[in-house]
Amino acid sequence: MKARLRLLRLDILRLTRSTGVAVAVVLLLAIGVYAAWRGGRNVEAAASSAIAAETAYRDQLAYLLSTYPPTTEAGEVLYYLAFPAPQPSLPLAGLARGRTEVETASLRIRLLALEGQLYEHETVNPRLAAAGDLDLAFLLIALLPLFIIALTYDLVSSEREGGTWNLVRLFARPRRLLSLKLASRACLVGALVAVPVAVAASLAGVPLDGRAGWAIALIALHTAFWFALCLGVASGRRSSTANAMILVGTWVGLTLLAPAALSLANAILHPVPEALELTVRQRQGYHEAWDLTKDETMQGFYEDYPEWSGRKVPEDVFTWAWYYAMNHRGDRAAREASGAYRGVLRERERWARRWSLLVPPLAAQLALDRLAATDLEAQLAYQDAVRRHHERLKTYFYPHFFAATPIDAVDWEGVPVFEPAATEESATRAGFPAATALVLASILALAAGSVRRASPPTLRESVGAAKS
Amino acid sequence: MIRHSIRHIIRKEFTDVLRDGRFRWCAILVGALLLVSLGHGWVQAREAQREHAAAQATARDHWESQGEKNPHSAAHYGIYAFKPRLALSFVDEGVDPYTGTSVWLEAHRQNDFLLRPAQDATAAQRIGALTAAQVLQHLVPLLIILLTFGALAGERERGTLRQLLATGVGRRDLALGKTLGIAGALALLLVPAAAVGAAALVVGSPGPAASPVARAAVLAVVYLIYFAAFVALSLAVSAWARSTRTALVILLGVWVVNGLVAPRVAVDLSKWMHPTPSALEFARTVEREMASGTEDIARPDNEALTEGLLTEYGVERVEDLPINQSGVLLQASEEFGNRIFDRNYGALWDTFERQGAVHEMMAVAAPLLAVRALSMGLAGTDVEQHRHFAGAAETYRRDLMRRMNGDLTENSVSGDFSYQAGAELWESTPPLRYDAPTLAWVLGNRILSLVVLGGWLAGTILMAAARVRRAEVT
Repeated sequence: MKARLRLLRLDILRLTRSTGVAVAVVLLLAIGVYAAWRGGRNVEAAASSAIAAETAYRDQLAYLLSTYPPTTEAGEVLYYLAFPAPQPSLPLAGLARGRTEVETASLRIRLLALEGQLYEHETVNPRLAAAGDLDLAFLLIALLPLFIIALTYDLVSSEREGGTWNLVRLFARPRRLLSLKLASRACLVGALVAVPVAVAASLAGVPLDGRAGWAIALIALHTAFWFALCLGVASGRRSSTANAMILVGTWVGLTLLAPAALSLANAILHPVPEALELTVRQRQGYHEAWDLTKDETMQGFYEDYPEWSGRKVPEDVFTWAWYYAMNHRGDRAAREASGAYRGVLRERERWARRWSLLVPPLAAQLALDRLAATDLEAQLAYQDAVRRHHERLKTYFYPHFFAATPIDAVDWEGVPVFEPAATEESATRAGFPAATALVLASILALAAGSVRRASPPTLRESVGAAKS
Repeated sequence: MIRHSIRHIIRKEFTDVLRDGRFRWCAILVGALLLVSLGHGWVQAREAQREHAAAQATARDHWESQGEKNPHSAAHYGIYAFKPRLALSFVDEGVDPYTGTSVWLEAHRQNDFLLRPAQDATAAQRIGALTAAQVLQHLVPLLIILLTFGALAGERERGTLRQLLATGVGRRDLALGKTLGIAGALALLLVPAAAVGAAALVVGSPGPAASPVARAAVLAVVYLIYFAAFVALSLAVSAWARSTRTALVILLGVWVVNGLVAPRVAVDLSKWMHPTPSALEFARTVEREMASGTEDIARPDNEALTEGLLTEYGVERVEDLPINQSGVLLQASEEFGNRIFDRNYGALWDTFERQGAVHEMMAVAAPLLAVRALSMGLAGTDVEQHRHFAGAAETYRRDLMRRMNGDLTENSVSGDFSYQAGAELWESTPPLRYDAPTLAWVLGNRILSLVVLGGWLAGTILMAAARVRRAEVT
């Protein structure tokens, strides 16, 4: 045992003495620790932006209450007031940023028609958004496999090409040598995974719960999948160069092409023509109301809020109850299109997750984004939470609109606080399918390798020879 | 004699490559991807152009048939403007998925663009989309590496390099012959793709003119330079490396850094050097400045304005003015707002462009960044051209508001809220006309990238020449 450990240490040393490997290790570690640090910073920034949103609301409210005379109707001040709706991000978002770069999780909503307010986004340079994110998930899922390939593609062929394979077959047990070489590489790669993940977890304050457990398991399984694939390919009789080309080709296919092809297919299968329509409909729904009698506008409102159907508004004067009902009319007009739009997006998300199971890196990536709640589904859940919040605010303020309450009679402290979208969905549901897919893919990759090995009797034969 | 031997080498390399099953499969795959992405991009661009025309017509129709109303209500009603897609956008979608395609032009506000395709996409899309530009920027260089890494290292490994040189073939001729052979094989793949692209451009060519043919020609040259640099670099490494294995590993390392690492590092670097305010900070700043002005931009003084009007028309009371005072005040407030928007949005766009310049500087380490900037620019899908359209839309909005306020001022009197304008006014406002920037404008923005890309080509060719000259025979 001790001797084996020494051999292992020696082999790791031998590996890292190669300039190429050393450079790659340093580079990957540097990028990893940097990405981890950035992830931690992003989680902090999300938290502080939630506080900033709350402060902005308090400031604006104080400003409005101090500039408008106390007898002003609440409706007038509420025209301007933007309520914060910050969704706290999970600490895991520090590892897998998903779509957070292109979305905002901190909308400010006014009591006006909601549909046009839901799609605001961060003021990010589109060019930077297009270039993609250097988060830990990208490093571990896209880049690390290339390092694994570089370490293992010549596992057997280098011995053969160096002329040492026959020596190994004569004097050592090839299987033991292979497992030693694999073990030393696994240790090296394991360290490259563990260090940045540990740094990220501590900087982002990831609690050791089911989510973190599944995330770590997925990263480990994904890494194991690439080892299995490399072992499957590398133990064949091909030359080092052929192995490298096959493995890199597989990597390109699985990491770049398959996700892009799936996205393309997804977009073609689930078109979203409703996206433009719904904002236009909402505008029309709202503006048409200027030409209608106030009662006509109110009818739609009464249908959705029957509790108010007894309260009529006067036809000849402006009332805030009518004004906000008019805004509601805009949302009503867009409701169907908006529902259809969200339906298509949910369908896209489901479809992507289902088919991603065939592409191990994508399966791992999407499952990590799910666990970190940085995917499309999380964004839709957030928008639903914002919708609910908008409804609660409306329910809270409508009595004031109908009663034409002056601002000093409104209980501003009792205004409903935003209830973020629940992220308590079971981590197992997010992680299990991808984990299973990864395990199956690993077995398949190994099996494919050994099937091909079986025909030219190299390893098996030599192992048998060594045993007898 | 020498000419003759070069021709032999070219022919041998060319047939070798074509006979190589790996190349055949790779080339078929890359070719298929190129055709699929070109085809899909083209269909999508046409579809988008059709939707764009329909949406534009609907928006105009809504505007013209909005019925009788007060011009200021019409200003609030506003109109949507839609960003046209340029003819070449089917090659490179650039930043379009992240910018949005429509903007609502209304009174008092400069709105952001909405409807970014990225908002409809799953997280899978963040890894990359299947566009012709992606194939050209990532996969073709990979194919070049696979074709070239063994060019000299392989001959040396097999011991045939010594034999070849012994026959009197010069090293330079050998390298040149190999390069041309590989180039011929690549041409088999790229020429048909370019022909398909050109046909698509000629047949479909949706969108505003903006000299698509000239843009396409420059685009082709840019990609050719990029590929040539990769061939030269691969040849240099192949001449220098001890074994084909080493050559392959080094070249793949270069490819990864160029395509995957550098662009993302450039993102972080440019954010760090030129940070942008968060959406909340930005919105708050605009709100604050709109409420109380800035040091240089004072809120319009309504009383002074009214006083001025009374003096100008020589009357005592606002009611006696022959014009509507609110129109004047609204216009003053609009102009005040415009200055605030220019100040804030201008600073934001400037920061975006400075971030872009960091990207272009980083192209010194990764030619992809220069190619990407040029490709987006020529396809008409870069940040600068988005800003160009956003500027045109905003100018149109301001003109529209001026017309509405002007009509209100001239055709009604102060305190009269019953005045209503009709279809005549709506129809008299011209629709938004947008002229896409010229090729010279686009290239003017991209001088840095052009220089850096040229530098890459020259550098890699010099490197290849030096390495080939010094290549060891065994």
